[in-house]
Formats: sequence, C-alpha cells, structure tokens
Amino acid sequence: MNTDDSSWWPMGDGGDKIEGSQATARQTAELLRSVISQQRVPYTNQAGALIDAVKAIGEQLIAANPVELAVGNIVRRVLHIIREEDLSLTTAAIGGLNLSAVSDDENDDDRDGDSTLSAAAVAAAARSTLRPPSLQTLLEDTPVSAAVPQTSSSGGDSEGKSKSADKSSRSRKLKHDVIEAVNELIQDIVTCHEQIAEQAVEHIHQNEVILTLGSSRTVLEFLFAAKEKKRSFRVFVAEGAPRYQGHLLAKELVARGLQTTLITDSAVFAMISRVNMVIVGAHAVMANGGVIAPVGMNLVALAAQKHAVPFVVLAGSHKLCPLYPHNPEVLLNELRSPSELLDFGEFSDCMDFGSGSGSPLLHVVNPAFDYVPPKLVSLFITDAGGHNPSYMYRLIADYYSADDLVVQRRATAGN
Amino acid sequence: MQYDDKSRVQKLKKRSVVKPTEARNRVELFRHLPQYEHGTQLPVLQSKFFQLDTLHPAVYKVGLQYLSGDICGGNARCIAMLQAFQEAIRDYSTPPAKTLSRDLTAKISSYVSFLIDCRPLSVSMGNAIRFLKSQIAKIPISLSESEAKATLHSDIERFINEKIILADRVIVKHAVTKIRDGDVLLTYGSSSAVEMILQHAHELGKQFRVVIVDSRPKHEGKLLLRRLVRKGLSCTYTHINAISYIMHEVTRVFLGASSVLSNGTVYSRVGTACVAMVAYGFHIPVLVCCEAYKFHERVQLDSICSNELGDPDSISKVPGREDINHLDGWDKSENLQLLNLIYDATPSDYVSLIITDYGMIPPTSVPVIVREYGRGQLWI
Repeated sequence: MNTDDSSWWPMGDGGDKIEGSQATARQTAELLRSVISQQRVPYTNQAGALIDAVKAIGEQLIAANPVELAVGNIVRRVLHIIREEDLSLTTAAIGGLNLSAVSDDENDDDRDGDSTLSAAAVAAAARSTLRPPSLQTLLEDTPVSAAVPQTSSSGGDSEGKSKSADKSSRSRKLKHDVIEAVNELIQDIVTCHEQIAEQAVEHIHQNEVILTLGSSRTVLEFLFAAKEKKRSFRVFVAEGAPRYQGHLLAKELVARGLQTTLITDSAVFAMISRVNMVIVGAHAVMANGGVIAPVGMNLVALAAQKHAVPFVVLAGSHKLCPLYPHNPEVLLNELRSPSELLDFGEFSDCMDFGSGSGSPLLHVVNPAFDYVPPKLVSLFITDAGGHNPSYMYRLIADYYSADDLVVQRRATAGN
Repeated sequence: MQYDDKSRVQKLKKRSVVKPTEARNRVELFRHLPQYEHGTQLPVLQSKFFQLDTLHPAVYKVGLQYLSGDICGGNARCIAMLQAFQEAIRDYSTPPAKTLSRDLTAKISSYVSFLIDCRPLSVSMGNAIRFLKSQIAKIPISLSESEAKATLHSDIERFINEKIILADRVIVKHAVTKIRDGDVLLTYGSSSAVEMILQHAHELGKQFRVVIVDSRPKHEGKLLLRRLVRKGLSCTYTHINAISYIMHEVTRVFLGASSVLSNGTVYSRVGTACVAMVAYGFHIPVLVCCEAYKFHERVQLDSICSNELGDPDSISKVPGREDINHLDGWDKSENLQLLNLIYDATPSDYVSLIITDYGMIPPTSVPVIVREYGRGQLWI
C-alpha cells in the first residue's frame, strides 16, 4: 500500500477548524482504519508494523495542521489501541501456552512446534509490552517493536505450513481486533454529543441563568436536552467577535423556544453577576486540565471566578490531548486575518511602509484561540462523566500510551 | 426615575417633546431603565423645529447631535451643552413680573428635560447643570439683567476653562511621569484624556508603543487609532476578546472614565471592567484618568442598577460583514432580546491609581475629595 496516498489531503485545507474537531477526529479515525486494514503485516511483530504504518501517516497528518489537536489525539488513540490489542493477545497466548503444555490431543506435533516456536517470541513480547516505561527503555536506541528478538526465525524454517497458518491467523486476529476497536472509537466520537447531553439534567435545575460564548454544538445539544426534560432556564449568549458565532447559537436557541439574550463580549463582566452558571465548549483539553478555547474564553473564566460562578467545560473525549501546554498562547494559537477587525481599504493610509524603520506603524492582532488555565475551570463534562481538572491527567493513561507522545517514526535497521 | 412605574411613565410621556414609541423585546433585568427608542425620533424632531418655540435653537441643535451620536464622550458633551446654554442665556430676556433667577432656572430645567429625551445625561453634564443652577441662584437681586447675564457667561467660561481644559493639562502633566521608555501602554476605546496623554508623551520624545483595544458595537478605538497613527505613534489594534493574548506584552493600562463614584467604582464605557480585571490578573497597573468635576457622591455596586441602554439594532447587524445576518427580523421573535449596554462599573480593587487635576490619588480617596472640596467649592 502506498503510504503517501492522497486520500488524506482534504484534511490539510482550511475549512471550519474550530468547530470541526468532531468531524476531523472522525475522518482521521476512518483514514487510519483503512490504513490498518490495507497494511500487510509480517509474520512476526505484527504490532510493530502496524504501529510504524500509523506513525508514518500520523506524522504527516499532525504536521499538516498542528493546531487541530484532535488529529494527533486520534492518531495516539489508535496507536494505544494497537498496543493494547497486542498485549491482550500475547497474554492470551501465554495463557494458551500454559494450557497447551498440559493438554493432550492429536495435534501434538503442531502444538509442540507452535509452543517451542512461540515460547521465546511470546515471552519476549510479553516482557517488552508489560514492562513499564523506564529510563532504560527510553534511552534504548532500538524501538520497542524491534525488541522482540528474531529468534523465531531460527525455529521457523523447519516447521510446516501449519505454523504459517497459525501465525497468519494470529496476525489476522490482531488486525481484526484493532479494526473493531477503531470502529468503537469512531462510534464514540460520533455519539459524544448525546452522551454529554444526557448529563444535562444533573446540572441544570429550574430558573437558572446560563452564560455562554460563541457557538458549540456540544453546548447546543446540552441545553436542548435540558429543555426536553422541562427545565426552565434563560441563556445569555456573548456574540464572540470577530467570528460572531454567538448570533448563530442565539438563533438556534430561540428556534427551540429558549429565552435568549444576546450581549456583546464587552458586557460579560457587567452581566455575570446575574448568571448562575457558565457552560462552554472547548477546542481541546490539555493534560494539565487547561483548555484551548475560542478567543474570549479566558475573559469569561476570570469574570466567573471573580463572581464565584461555576465554569463548566463540555468536551468529547477526542479532545483530550496528552500534551502539557507550554506557552500555549503562542504555540497552540493561530493568528487570523486582520481584515476581520479592520477594513484594509479604510486603513490603507496607515499602512505606510516609508516611515522611519520601514515597518508600518500599525499592527493588528487577531488570535483565534485562548488558553484557560485549569484553576479557573470548575468542572469538565465528557462523554465519560464529570471530572475535576486535576483528574484529566489520569484519563490520559486510559486513552494513550506513554510511548506515543512524540509521533515520530524512528528510523530502524531491522524493519 | 423609575421607568418600570407605569403611572410615572405616563406623566412623563405627556410632558415630553419627543414622543417615545413602544419598546420592543425589553430585557427584564433592565426594566427600570429607559428603553432605547431614539432611532425613530430624529426625523420627527427635525420636522418639529419651527414648532418648538420654547426651545432655543442652540440647545435644539445640541440635542440633535446627541441623538444622532455625533457628539460623544463626557467632556465633549458637557462642553457642547454649556456653550449652548451660554448662547441661550445671552439671548434670554426676563419676562415682566418675574425674577431672573427663578425664571431662568425654570427655562434651563426645560432645556435639560429636552436633552434627557434625546439622550440620558452623563454624570459630567449632571454636575455642570448643578453648578449652573447654583450660580443662577446666587445672583443678587440688585444686579441688572445684562450684568447678571455677563456674570453667568463668565462663570460658565471659567468652569469650562478650569474644570475641563486646564484640568486636562494638569492630568497630562502628572500622567507622563508614569510613562517610561520601552513601555507598552494599553488603552480601551477612545478617551480624550488618554489621547492627550499619549500625544504629549510622544511629543516629549518618549519611546513607547500603544495597544488599542476596541469592541462592538461602537468601535470607538478605530478613530483613536487613526489619530494616533497620524501623529506617528506605533500602534497595535485588537479587539476585547484578545486581551488575554496581548496582556503579556503590556506594561501599563490607561483608561478613561465617565465618572468615578464615591465607593471608588469607576463608571465608564462597557468593557472597561473586563480590561481592568484581566490587567489586575496579570499584575499590571491600571491608571484611570478622570477630571475631578466628574466625581459623584453616588455609590454603585454593579452595572445593572444604573446604566444606559443603546440601540439593539446595532448588535444584530455587523457593519461590513453582510454574511452575519442570522438575526434579521429579531424583533418578531418574543424569545430573543438584544442587550446593548453603554456603561459598566469597574470595582475599585482593579484600579491602582486615579489621575485627576487634584493629583494622583488611590480610588479610596475619591469620597474625600468630594467631601473636602465640598459641593460648592468643587466647581469654583
């Protein structure tokens, strides 16, 4: 299979990057699923081959759009799935090994050959996957996938077709399990809105006033679910300049019969004293519990903290990123066109390059994202339930492996 | 005056020159404030010009300028109003069998209610009117009419000169001592005092950068930006949502104020509180520049008890962005309200220093100035 196939190009273009995390995540997962299913795996070290293939594609996907963190998240999730499935298969094989050693049936020579062949390989594989990351493994030059020794080749040639049949069935089993797990992942991504919205009734009671900024589909579904359950509440929507997504959200809410008031972003501090709860969506959630959100969110979070208003962030699990943010305002941000703030035609006389140092006197700054530190967030509601910001790092251990933090295909000799 | 009290609103409607239309889609929280109905008034007022013989043309002109938004900003509005009153007083003649002070006071009151109908008074205007009325009340009976008018004329002249123009010069002189080379100064919206400070510091040769933060719907920062770039200052322009991004580079924040209240709260353009809050979070000093005549003995805790409501249509439409038209026909939907606040109240803990013509004071000293310099003396 050509790993440079152009089916992934559509992800590198513009488009609605901020609200598109779910669509991007789903497309990434589907692409990786097709990569896995088309990948030819060798007889030994199937997991390593799959991991390398996914890393190769993943590296290119992440480089195409580093700010869309959902892409990297899904790549790492798939890598984790491969490692986990491999681990469960090897533990099952070890368990099968013990059983076959005492079993007594006609396929003796096959079983014996199988056991002698795979004992060393299985033991080595088990050692490498079960071993927690230690300084030694991190400093080792050879990747984990190549740590499985090639001893199997010593016994392999002498065996017959039955061995190869077993090996290929085992490799097919790995691919099959991985693809099933990736399908579950895609299903989770698609249904994350419903699972989050189910929790709406626990948080919204009667006569509430809720503030939100911009527009997020998760928030929309959340509020609709509460309305379905006959909770009465009013919503203040801050318009979210310069994209004005708040106008869209207000229109949708009004169409569903919710009392909505649209305010400008500058009025957030003025109105927040009358608000019971702030509910917002996120672009990405970082490992320390910090949130990358549309611009203006830090303002709302600070105002909410000052008035002791709970600040609730809704995020699907595909938005949880295992990286710790370092200087996120610069490194995880995107500066958009100044024409959204100033009309070029109107201000063209201020763009005089002929003065003084040769640079114009006028600079326009239009960031797309904002970083909200974890201490300002009261609660995360994900499809796996509600969590404290200090708990988010623990969820990472469920979804990601430590080896995958840097998605880079290491050049190896024996591959 | 409580605008949610129906009987009082009825009485007011009967007396007023400008007939208010029914407000649509009122925000419940702001029922006690006069709703914005002025968009429809301008053509009505223009047609009524020759019927308003009780109103002096200068005052009428100023009222129209307020209604259309041509004059905005506390100092500008106050000066325009006082100059209109000067003209009105010059053309005034006492009717027989009436004393000058009482009749003139009644006339000024009628002018003021016209101006209120055009646009609610700012605190600076309110203080100026109180000064004028107290001066009128002090005129001795023995003075002839022309002498009285000349006295009032020179009083108003002195007020404008001392309390506004000279006060601004003193503020500028104090404030430039707070600007060092290499500073990055942030300002919000367009304040006349802050603009003067920046221009003067640039003339003195100080090397600094300016960050102008702007917001919807008025976009006042664009005008300030143009004037500063023309003078040669290096400016960065951004919108209020991006202040968390830009605040890392900023060393000082200069803000203007419509008024400073007795509990230290700064009553200023909406969005000032957000800027002050973020600056406080980043440990950046916030300096508020306000002339002393704008101080008031009122106290206020939040932005809702007393405020001004602006035109809701300017929120539903975004000039220059025709694609943002999701809210066309918003007034037909009873579930949707648009809120356009004009002012907000910044708590005093966010303000480091207030620069006035009485010096540089902390926010806690504002009631001291209001009391010590007394109501009478504050305006002499």
